[in-house]
Amino acid sequence: MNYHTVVFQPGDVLLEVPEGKTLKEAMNDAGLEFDFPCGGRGTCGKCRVRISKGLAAPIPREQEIIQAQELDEGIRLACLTTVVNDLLVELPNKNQLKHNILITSEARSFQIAPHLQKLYLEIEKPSREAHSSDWHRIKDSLIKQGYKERELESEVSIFRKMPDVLREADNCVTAVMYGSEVVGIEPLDSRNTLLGMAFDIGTTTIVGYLLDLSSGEELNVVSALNPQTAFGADVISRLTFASHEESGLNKLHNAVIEAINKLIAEAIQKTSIAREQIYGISIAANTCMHHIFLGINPQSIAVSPYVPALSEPLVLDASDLKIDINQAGKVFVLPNIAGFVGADTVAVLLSTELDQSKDIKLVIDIGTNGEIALGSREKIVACSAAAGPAFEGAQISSGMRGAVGAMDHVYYRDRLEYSVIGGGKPLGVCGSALLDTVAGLVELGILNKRGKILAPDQLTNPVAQRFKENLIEYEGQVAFLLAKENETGHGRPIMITQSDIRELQMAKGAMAAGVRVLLDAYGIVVQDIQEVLLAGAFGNYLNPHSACVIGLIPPELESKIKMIGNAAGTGAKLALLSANEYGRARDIAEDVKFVELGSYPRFNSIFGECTYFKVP
Amino acid sequence: MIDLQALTQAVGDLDEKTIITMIEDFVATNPSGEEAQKIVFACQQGMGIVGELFEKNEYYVGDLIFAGELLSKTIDLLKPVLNDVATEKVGSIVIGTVQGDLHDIGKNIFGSMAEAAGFDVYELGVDVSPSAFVEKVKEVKPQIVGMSGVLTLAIDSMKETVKAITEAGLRDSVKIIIGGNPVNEDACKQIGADAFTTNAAEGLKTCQGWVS
Repeated sequence: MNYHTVVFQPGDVLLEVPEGKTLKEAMNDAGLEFDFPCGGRGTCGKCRVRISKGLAAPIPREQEIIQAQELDEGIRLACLTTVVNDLLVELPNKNQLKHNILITSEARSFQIAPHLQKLYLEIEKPSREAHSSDWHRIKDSLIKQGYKERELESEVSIFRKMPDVLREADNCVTAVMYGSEVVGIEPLDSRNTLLGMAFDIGTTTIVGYLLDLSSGEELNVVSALNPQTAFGADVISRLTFASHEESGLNKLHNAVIEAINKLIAEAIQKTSIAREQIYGISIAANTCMHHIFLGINPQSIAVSPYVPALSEPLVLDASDLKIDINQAGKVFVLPNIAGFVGADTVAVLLSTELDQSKDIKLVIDIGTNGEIALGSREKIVACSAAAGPAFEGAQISSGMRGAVGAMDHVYYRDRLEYSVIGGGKPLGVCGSALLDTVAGLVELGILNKRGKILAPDQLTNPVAQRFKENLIEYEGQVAFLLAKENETGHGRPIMITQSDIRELQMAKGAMAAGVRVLLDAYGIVVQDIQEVLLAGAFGNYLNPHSACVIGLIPPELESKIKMIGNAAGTGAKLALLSANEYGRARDIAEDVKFVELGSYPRFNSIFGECTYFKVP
Repeated sequence: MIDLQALTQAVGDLDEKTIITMIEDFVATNPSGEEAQKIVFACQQGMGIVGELFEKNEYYVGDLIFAGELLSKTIDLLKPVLNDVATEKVGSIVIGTVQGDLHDIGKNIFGSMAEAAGFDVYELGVDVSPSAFVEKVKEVKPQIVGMSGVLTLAIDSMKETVKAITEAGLRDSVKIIIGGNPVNEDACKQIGADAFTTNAAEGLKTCQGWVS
């Protein structure tokens, strides 16, 4: 087979790529992280790279998506470019791979109740008179601490190490206990090191919290893009990849396990902590990520009646999943509620203590699938709204994730102003800026109730006159210009087109309809809601006023909105630090009443109404 | 006598109150079936306006959903006076959301527009198995089968359904159109359908072309 040299810049990453592979495949094989929002199917046009040496003629699909001038400049799509000669490839922005990942969150008080315990034992030394086995003598010590003989157990991997440890440490050992199971025997007194890591595995990002399991102290927080992004940006494209590609499930599973192992390494780097001191990890993930993490085919979630393979909480051996921590380590997997309402939602509910709240609260985690829960200690109802990826910038013409270079907020002042993540010239808009832009258009009467951008001569609001110039026609479509070509980082204008507004109408309509259905299912009206808790990255960065103006959140609730940060991560931490909280997660998962929107009566007309805007 | 032009315009404007009042007043006069038929025709023309406004980007999905509901409401109101009138249908079509998928907004919009355009629409609902499609095709012998789905996995179900129709020896007797977010030309070829659409109004035009 012919190989060609491909160099990626910046960074001069050099790859030998077999002829016929796409750039995307080559980048995946090399572990280069890059965004392929549509999963590399050549539909979104977001994986633009510039080929500065070895450029070939564009294929028809590229000619459709990329403008002629850009094609001339060597812009191609990484997913469609096949390697047939040596290439020099420039990635559009050296910060492309850095993302704003939300790691902070609200704390709440709770009682630490470790799943795992360490006991220091001074084992009776064997002699000719006392010649019972090593295991027998360890059990004797444990019985003195209150354990019951017939309940104590262990396994062969522990027995293999036991004689050496006992003799090296002169019979002074620390037993690591999981209930009545001895999961580790360590030399001498190691009680002061009992660490764990809580993971929130999102479709886009993975966040890990290194915790001292005895004190609850957070020692480090690490995060990374979910490497599965290379195989598709959203849950549905992952589901498709898992079931349609050859060994697709394995690739996804291995990618997430590898990412977790890398994050563990990163968390303990520059500390004196060794992997062996980590005894437990907890996992909060959406149902699809949960299944893939466990290596279970998630296909059944994708098709009606959307049943997960598994929703019960699980405790597994870390070694079975090739998680690189102490051999005795355990993995605590939080339970799912239903097909598209997963363990991440359980974790959010656990951290917000909705199950004990006197007041009725609305909890919203906005993402590709927006999970919505409404409830109090009386009952909780939840649903998943298929919002689509618009809030994450996908399927929006100038859209991008909340990464460096993304416009994150837009202000209608004397003139249009905006802020950019990381400063500098903007490269696109992320979800929060999309919300601000559209909310402004609604408030200024530039959009009508049906979401149509009006013509300049139809504007009646005097303030709207200031932004007449921003109303443009671009590639046969009406659009609202946010930044001209010379103001952007890539020389292409940034705008919100009529189609983008249509995408947003679908997304916010789905979310708002979800809220309406839950209110109906709970039997209350919107005024009965005491508080709105917004979880997740998007919920944390959005402007609540904008969200209310466009009707993503009922406007009546604007003053009741509170951002709670990465609540799923908080829930994962609670479940790791406390066996009681972990048990509570099981109760929450069992008690939450799942409402399937697709089969809810009148859902379609509710959704239809919710796609409208409420104009002044 | 009812102002048919005003009714057409009211349907085009999605002016529910006016439409319902007009129809109720009309039904109260105890009209003949032929007169009622004219009302249906006026409503159909109003739906035509809705379709045009959608294409012009004035109307959007919410309006189409609303229009569909409005139309079934008016037909329900007219039913008592429409009985026994033989209606001339332009063609017949069997539609459904394919197995494994529950999304039916697009399919419902298409269904009500097709009905408004004078098609006999046989609606199979959601999560429809290939054999259910085959049974219905055998039973009503439509000219067209419409399959809808939103999930990318729906493509597989569509393929299975075409295969089942072919195996039942019915493929040559029907035109097949697929609709929904994941469909495109490649998918259409792969599935073995005759046409695809991501837009109900456009899909209806394709169907009208087939039966004209």
